[in-house]
Parts: sequence; C-alpha cells; structure tokens
Amino acid sequence: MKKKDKVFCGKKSQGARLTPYLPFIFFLLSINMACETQTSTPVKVDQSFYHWQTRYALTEVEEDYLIDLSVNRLYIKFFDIDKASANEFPSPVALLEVDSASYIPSEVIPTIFITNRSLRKLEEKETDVLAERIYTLILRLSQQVGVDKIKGIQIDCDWSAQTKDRYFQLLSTLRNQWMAPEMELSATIRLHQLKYAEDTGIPPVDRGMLMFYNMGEVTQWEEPNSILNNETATKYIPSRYDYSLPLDLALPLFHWGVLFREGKMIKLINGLSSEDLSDRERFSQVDSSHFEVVRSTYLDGYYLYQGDQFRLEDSKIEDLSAAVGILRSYFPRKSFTLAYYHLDTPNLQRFPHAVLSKLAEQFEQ
Amino acid sequence: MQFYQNWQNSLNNENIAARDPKTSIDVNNQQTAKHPIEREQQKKLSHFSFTLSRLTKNLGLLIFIIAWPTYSSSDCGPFSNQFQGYSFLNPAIGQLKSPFAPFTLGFAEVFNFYPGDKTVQEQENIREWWERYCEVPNKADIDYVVYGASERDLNELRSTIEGELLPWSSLGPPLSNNTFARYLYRYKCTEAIDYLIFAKQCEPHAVARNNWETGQKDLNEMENLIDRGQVLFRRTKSEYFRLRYVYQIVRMAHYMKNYRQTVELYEYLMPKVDNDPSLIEDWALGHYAGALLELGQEVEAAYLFSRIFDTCPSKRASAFRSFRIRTDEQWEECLMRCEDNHERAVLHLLRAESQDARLVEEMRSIYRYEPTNENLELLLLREMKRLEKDLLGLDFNNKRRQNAQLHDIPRPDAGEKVIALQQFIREVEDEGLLPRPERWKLARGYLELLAGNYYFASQTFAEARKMTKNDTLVQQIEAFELALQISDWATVSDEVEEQAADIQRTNEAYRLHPDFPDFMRDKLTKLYREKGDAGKAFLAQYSIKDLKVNAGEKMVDNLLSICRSVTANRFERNLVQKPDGTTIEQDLLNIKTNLFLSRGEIEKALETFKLIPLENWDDFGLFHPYLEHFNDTIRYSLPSSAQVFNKGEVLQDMVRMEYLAQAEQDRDKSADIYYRLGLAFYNMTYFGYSWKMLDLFRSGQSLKNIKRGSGNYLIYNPNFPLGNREFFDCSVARFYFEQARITAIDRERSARALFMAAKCEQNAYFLDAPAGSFPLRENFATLKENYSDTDTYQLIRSKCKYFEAYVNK
Repeated sequence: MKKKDKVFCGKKSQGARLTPYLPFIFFLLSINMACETQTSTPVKVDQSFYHWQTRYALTEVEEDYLIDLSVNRLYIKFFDIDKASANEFPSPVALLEVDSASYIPSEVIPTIFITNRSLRKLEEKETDVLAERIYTLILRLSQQVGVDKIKGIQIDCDWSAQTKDRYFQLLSTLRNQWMAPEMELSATIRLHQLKYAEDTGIPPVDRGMLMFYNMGEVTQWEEPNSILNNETATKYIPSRYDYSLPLDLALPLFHWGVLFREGKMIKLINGLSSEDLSDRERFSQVDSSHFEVVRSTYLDGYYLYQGDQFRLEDSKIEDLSAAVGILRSYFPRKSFTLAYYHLDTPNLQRFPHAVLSKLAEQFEQ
Repeated sequence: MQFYQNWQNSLNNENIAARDPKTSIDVNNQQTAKHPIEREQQKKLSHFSFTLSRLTKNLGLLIFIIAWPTYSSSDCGPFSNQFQGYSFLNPAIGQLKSPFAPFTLGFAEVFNFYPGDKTVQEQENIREWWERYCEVPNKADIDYVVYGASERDLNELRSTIEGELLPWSSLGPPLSNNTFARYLYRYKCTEAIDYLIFAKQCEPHAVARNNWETGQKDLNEMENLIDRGQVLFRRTKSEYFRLRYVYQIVRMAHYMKNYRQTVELYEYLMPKVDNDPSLIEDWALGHYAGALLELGQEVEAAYLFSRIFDTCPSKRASAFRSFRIRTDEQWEECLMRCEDNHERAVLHLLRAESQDARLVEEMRSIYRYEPTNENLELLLLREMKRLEKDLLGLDFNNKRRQNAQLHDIPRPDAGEKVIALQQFIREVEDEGLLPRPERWKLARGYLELLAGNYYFASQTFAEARKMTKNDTLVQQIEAFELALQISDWATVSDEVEEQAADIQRTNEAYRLHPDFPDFMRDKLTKLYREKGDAGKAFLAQYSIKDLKVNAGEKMVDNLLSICRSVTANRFERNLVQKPDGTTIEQDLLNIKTNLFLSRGEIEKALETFKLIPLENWDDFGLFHPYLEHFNDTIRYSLPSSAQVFNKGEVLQDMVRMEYLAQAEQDRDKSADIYYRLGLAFYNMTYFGYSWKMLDLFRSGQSLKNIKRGSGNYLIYNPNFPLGNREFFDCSVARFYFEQARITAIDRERSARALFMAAKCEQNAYFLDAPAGSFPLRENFATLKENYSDTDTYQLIRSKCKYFEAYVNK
C-alpha cells in the first residue's frame, strides 16, 4: 500500500502546485468558451426542404423556390417501410417515382419512414437483413434519381418502448456495416423523445432532426391547432440543451382540414384552406378556423354530410416566428440545417422566401 | 397521438408516413404474461380446499358461466382494450350468401367467411374455364394448367397435341394425369394452349414484384407482347379466346402506363369480339376504366367502375377502391350516365360503403331508386350492428366506462339514429314494396328493444313470428326475445332468479349465443347491487377465487347467509353450490377467518374457523408459522423435520399463547411467548414464509407496484378482476415483538425481538415512506447503541446485510 501511495504522491506532487488555482482556471476557460459560442462563432443555418410525395416531379414554382432560396440539400422520401400482416417481413411501399427531367439539388438525403409495426417482432438477424435491404434499395433508387454519391441517410420512425431496441439495432447496423464512414446517418426526433430522452433513448446516429410540428391533439375538437401549437411545444422543450446528439430542425409549412362527423375526427384533408370552404351554400363559417357543412356535398373526392364540421389548421408565419423564438434559446450556437416540411407548390405560395430567410436569420443573429 | 398516426395511415393510403412528434406509448403490444414467481405460486395452490379447476370440472355449464366471465364480443378476454359488449344479431339473417356481403355488411365476422380478392379472382376464372369446357374437367386440374403449369409444360402439351412429341405418357405426371390437359389433347384445343402460353408470358409483367427489387419493367418486351397478342388475336377463331387476348393486351398497355394506347386498343379490339357474356369483359373493362381515370375522364371511369363493382365479384374490391367522385357536378353527371335506377342505386351503394357514411340517408336513396335492391338488407344489418354496439345493455354493461373512454361508444347521437332508422323502416313497411318484409319487421322490433320500448318490441317480435317459418329467422327472433326478457327485469326477485335458472338450463338461444351468459350476469349484477346484495352481485360476476384474493366482509356475510338459508331458490343455490353438491360455506368461513386474523383478532378468527367441521381443517393448508428467520431468502422450503399444523390448530395455539403470555410470571418466558406470537403474525404476512395462512395468491411484483404511502394494498393483477389484496401490514407482528422486548429481562431475548421489530419497521418504510426518503431505523439504532455486546447482535450482523450496512455506515 505504501509503495502505491508513494507513486501516487509523486504524480500528485506535480499537479498539486496547480490545485489551488484549478477553480479559477476552469472559470476562465468556461468564460472563454461561452464567449466563443455566444459571440465569436458565426452560426450558419442551411435551409432545406422535405420532399414527401411519392412522385418526384418538381413544378417550376418549386424548382425556382429552391434555387432562389439557395437550397442545396433536399430530404427526399425514397420509400416507407411497412408490413401488411404480423408474419410478413417488412417491405418497402410508396417507392419514389422519378421524373428524370426534374431539377435535383446538389445534395439529396434519402429519407425512409419506418412504421413501428415493421419493427415489432423482428428478430435480431432479420433486423440486419432489413438494414442491408434498405441500404441496397437506397443505392438503387439514388441512381434513378440521378444522385451519384449520397452524403447521408435519414430514418424517420416514431419508435416506442417495444420497438426501440430493434430500431436502434437497425440504425447501428446501417451505420456500422453499410454506410461509408464519411456518410452521415440522421434520425428524426419527436418532441417527446427530446423531453424524455432518458426513457425513450437516444438513437445511435450522427445527427437528429427535431420535428417541431404535429404537437397537438388532432382528434379533439377543442384543439386549436395541432400542427403548430407553441404553448404545447414549450412544455416539451427543456430549459437547456443536454441532448447528446447535434440537432437539426424541421418546421412545418403545411396546412390541412380536420374533418369531424358526429363529434368524431374522421379524416384529414391535406392542403384544405378557407378558400376551399368559401361556398356559403355548402359551408358556413363558425369562426376563423371552424366551418360546418350546411348541405351534403363532395369535397376533394370525399362526400360530406350536412352537419359535418371542419377545423382548419396551418402553420402561420407569426407562429413559426414565435417557434423560432422558443427554439433559438434552446439550440446551441452552432450551425445546423433548418428543413421545412414540405416542398409543395400550394405550401410555397403561402410563404415568400423572404419570410423563410428571415426565420433562418433569426437563428443566425 | 398514436391514434392520430393510425388515422392518418389508414385514411391517407398514399402517404402512410405520418410524421408525428408526440407518440410515446406502444399500446398495441401490451403484455399480460404472468411473472414467473406468480406462475410458480399458482402451481402451489393445490392444497386449497377447492380450486377453480375443481369448481369448473364437474359442475357443468351452469356454474362455469357464473364463475368465469367471458366476453365473446372481444378478442382478448376481459382485459382487452377492445370494445366489450354483447351481440345477438346474426348476420346470417341477411343475405349472407350475397357476393356483396363482405362490402356492405362491413363487420369483421362476416369478412371471415369470405376469401381474399385474389382467391375470388382465381376461383371465378377457373369456374369459367370449367363452364366453357362443358363442366367436364376437374376444377383442380384446370387450376393446375392455368396457374400451376410452366410455359415449358404448356409447350410440351401443345407439341403432344400436334403429334410432335410422342406418346402422351411422355408428359410429366402432373399433366399426363390431368383431366383438363387430356381434354385439350383429345379435342386438339391448340387455341386454348396458345392463349395459355401467351398469358404465361404476360404474367411476369403484370404481377406485383418483391418491392425490395426495383428492376425496371421490361417495356420493350411488354410492347412486343402487345404486338404479338394482336397477331394472335387476329389469328384466333374462338371469340372467347379473342376476348382473353384483348384482356391481356389491354392489361399490358395499362401496366406500361400507356394510358392512351390502353384506351385505343380497348376501343379498337373489343367491338371485334362477338363473345358470350364473360367475366373477362369486366376484367378488361377495369383496365380501360383505369386508363380513362389517368387520362382525366373521371366521370366515365367512375361510372364504369360502378358497373364493375355491381357485376364482377372478382374485381369488386379494386373497383371500389378506384371509384372516385370529386365534385357534386361529377356526381350528377355520373347519375345521368346511368342507364337505369339499378345503376343509380349502385352509385349510392358505393357511397354507403365508406366507413363513416350515414347509412340511413344512403338507404333512403337506394330505396328510392330500387326498393328491391338486395343491399338494403345488408345496410340495415350494418346500421343495426352499430346501434346494437351503442345501446344493447348500456345501463348494466360493466365495461361501459371503458367503452366510452377508449372507443367513444355509445355515440352521442345513437338515440337519434335509432329513431331515424325506425322512421325509415316504418315508411318502407307501409309502402309494401320490400321483397322480404319479415326481416324489416324483426329489425324494427330489435330497434324498439334497443330504445327500451320493451312492450312494443314484444308485440313486434310476435308479429314477425307470424310472418316467417325460416328457421334462421325464428332462431333470431328467439334470441331477441330472450334479450328482451332479460333486459326487462326491473328488480331481482325469486321469480327472476327462477327464470334465470331456467334460462341457463334450458334456453336454446342462451346456449347458441355466446354473449348471453355475460349479458345476463351483468344485468343480475346490477340488480343485486341495487338491492344491496353485495355477495350475490360479486358471485354473479366473479368467482370464489377472486373473492379469496380480495375479500370484503359484507360480501362474505351475504354469501354465508345464502349458503345457510333453507329458503334459497334454485338460482341462489346455483350461485353458492360446488361441484360435489356442497356449498362454498367452508371456503367463505376460511376467508372470514383470514379477515379476523389479518387484524390480529385471534379469538374471533378461531371462533369462525371452528364452524368448519374438524375433519375438514386440513383442507385449508398445513403451516408452521413459528420459524425464526434473520436472513430472508427468495427460495425457501420448510425443513422436512418441521412439524406442521392446520389453521385451526395454529389458531388454538395462538389463543392459548396470548393467555399464557399475560399469565406467565417469568418475564423471559412471557417474552418468549410474545416473541413466538410475533413470529406467527410476521410469517403470515406478505413478507413471511407462511403467507398462505392469510392469502391465496402473492406476487413478487406487488411490492414494486404499490403506490408508496397510499395505504392502498390492492394491487392490479390481470388474473383477478377485483385486484389482489396483499397482506403487507406487519403492525400486529411488531406489536408482539415490542411486547417481547419490553417484557424480557434477558438482553439476548430483547435483542432478538428488537431485530424482528426492526424488520417490521423496514417493511413499513418500503410501503409507506415516500420514494427517495431515508428509513428512520429506530430499532437498528437501539440495537447498535444498547446491544452491541450481545451474541445476538453478532449473529444478526452476520445474517442481515441491511443491518451490517447500517452498522458500517
């Protein structure tokens, strides 16, 4: 014991001279680091978009918008993974169809959505097979899209306690066995996964994409706006950034109508706006966001009965700006990607690029 | 939010990728498997006087039904999250054989009778081949040639027919023994073989491939097939095969996404075919309509899909999915295209198929166009099924709160919907145009029952009886009448209980409909509760096993009084009777004994237990509750040398000891007796090795599952509907240990008692102190401060890690 102590004492004696000053040194270092992160490091926010339709054929509006906004990176959903019955092996559905003439930004991030039921009951070996198949299919589809080299892959899955292990295994296998080291694997992070990271776990990926939307109770008639409800969101944003992954951010640009029949939510109609409900012979406006069907009618291929009710939900510019205000103090002063969900002409027409650029600038200030 | 995601997934088929940030709980895969310790302990229950298995083994249906609730309308038993209610509506009363049934009825049990779409398509195709070949070949053989044989097989068959390959036996066994192949050979049906070979060549380009492989379609080959098909079409004499070529050609063009070419080929080729009616016409029409849809001719496409939906069962599902009307103008235009009212009625039928359609509105429209439309009855059944779910037994369904919370059932306007449907039925009955009015009469009666108009329901059922001799319908009437009889019981009486006993024993509808036992049990439970018969209410719903793990004194007394009553009616006797003809009285006395004992009331416990005949005392278990354990182990078995006693003997001993402890002059001897009583009480609790003295079931998980500090020791357990009450309370044991410590002069004795009191103190901490707080450990402190010089102190240190850790702190 003595001998050991002696060796230790020898080392200790060297450091001991600094010991009384350590707190002061740490203090100086922390001040220095704080100054560095808060003022001296410029924050660059790269704006990006999600393309979530099955057919990739950009309109002129969409193409111009991407170019004007200097969007270099596009998250394109390549396919979903789902399974029809419990005993089936998961398979890709809604595979991307590509119009070869369409504009392609310089960087495409293939994005894959995986349903929880695809992962449930998946064996360990099957998970490895799934990872291989996903990667191979991404490579094949990338060629069809016209992308020679993919820099990253994003996986979107709202994992649960039952599927977490398999999902994380899938991500690890993708990352370690299939993707080249220079490629980046990212995963979407829901707000509850951010807040309850200890319970839900943190996916083994290089980056996370925080999805700042769909945060309310869409099935409840009383819900004011389930797409973007900053009051709800603040409950999910921790006071300080202690998530162990670097995060990017996805904000909503979409709108929809939530259809209620006999008090029960029965359908979401994408892209529905008050203009679509402006015919007063068929619809009456209850207030700014609530409407009632006064005469049974067809709308967007769906038959509505008299007495059906709508709540219109959207992402308003002022709400997006307020969301940035909330997130600005949470996100570390580091460069990141700000992605908008999703690229679609009617959505873009509601948001001039200046508005989106301003959102990005709010982070950069 | 998971709910929302499911919604979006199911409602927006094109985009299943709902992007939802809040989903957190995966409710679909909840496990209810028992903990291994629970399973082990359940295995050990055999010494109890009677177990559930004994209860149910010999008693037959009667008691089984009472003692073991089942919920036939749900999938997963009593703890399912699914809707739990009753159903007496037999879908067979509708035209179940109607090929529309799977669509129009729309409820799960009916779907089970029907094969999938692909199977229907293959079956219909085989049947048509069979009919075209004079119903001579075996259908399975046709199946093999059409779907199983390879292109090479078919080429060999053709060569044999042409005489190029001899003899017939040189064909492989599947074909050489095949009646259809032999038929084709005998009649030299080369056109059929040529068509089948062509179809085989088309097939790989038409079937869905494994989506993991994204190989491009071979468009050149598909184009070649279209060209070759047209050549074969021209060369073929048989109008039937010319039609089939058109189908294959149009199909190829459609799958190539050459929609204009699809339309042109169809419009050019079809008029050149002079065939007898065939299902292939509809198949080809489907591709034509699909191409029109892609070309923007939505109304024409919708109209054609409605026709296919109406006439072609094998393409009904795909036609339903493809039928799409966007606007009111398109709807009107589509109605204008219809050639007759039947076609117009079909359009409304397609609208009614939507999951959330307002059926009465659509039924009115269908009826207006075509009062004899077979789907009206199916829609009526579907709406009644919904209303039955909403309203049947609503005032006594013991799962109604769960149904409301999880499924929004009943729907808020269910009452209005009943009225609307009744109104519609009255109107159509008055007009007298319905082909089978007795079914509508029956429906009206059932709606009256659901609405609580029992008198009118009874009259309507009687009228319906006069209108039919159909046995299915008569059985349905009997089921409705039984549901009416049970629903109509306003209060429980001897007469009602006699009726219940009769129903259980003799009623055929009760036997045939699996939901009746539950229906009657729930109704009686409600009536018993209203009357204050807690015991009967309990036993009508649950079993004696459930009572043993969570007993209420009032219930036990109520049931004891029934057991002892000389005037009990048949139903009451059934409730308390065991398979061997005796009653559950002794089990109830044992439960009551346990209740007294758990409170430390030894004399009352003994007095109660003594009511059980002495010769049966061993039936309630053998115990040795006086063993002293300083260290608790998970796996413990009583030493083989230990003498065991039945509960009555233990109680007699305890009563005697309590008296002796007070009377004993020698304080150490008195302390020993108190200590022994303390051990007995401790060992009977959840924490002791003789817990079976007080309890039927103990779960190792229970301690983890209690809400600390709540004082509520009733633990949720999926095996026991009323939960499992654990005997955690060590306060009686602690009282006797403290008595022992105070009384003892010998410090070793005091140290022992102090330590056991400390165990009780620690157990109370586990139960009652808020999580994260520190235990007080007053007894440990006393032991450490005042008894460290005793041998017992050293022994305890060596045995108890808690204490050792405390000393070393």
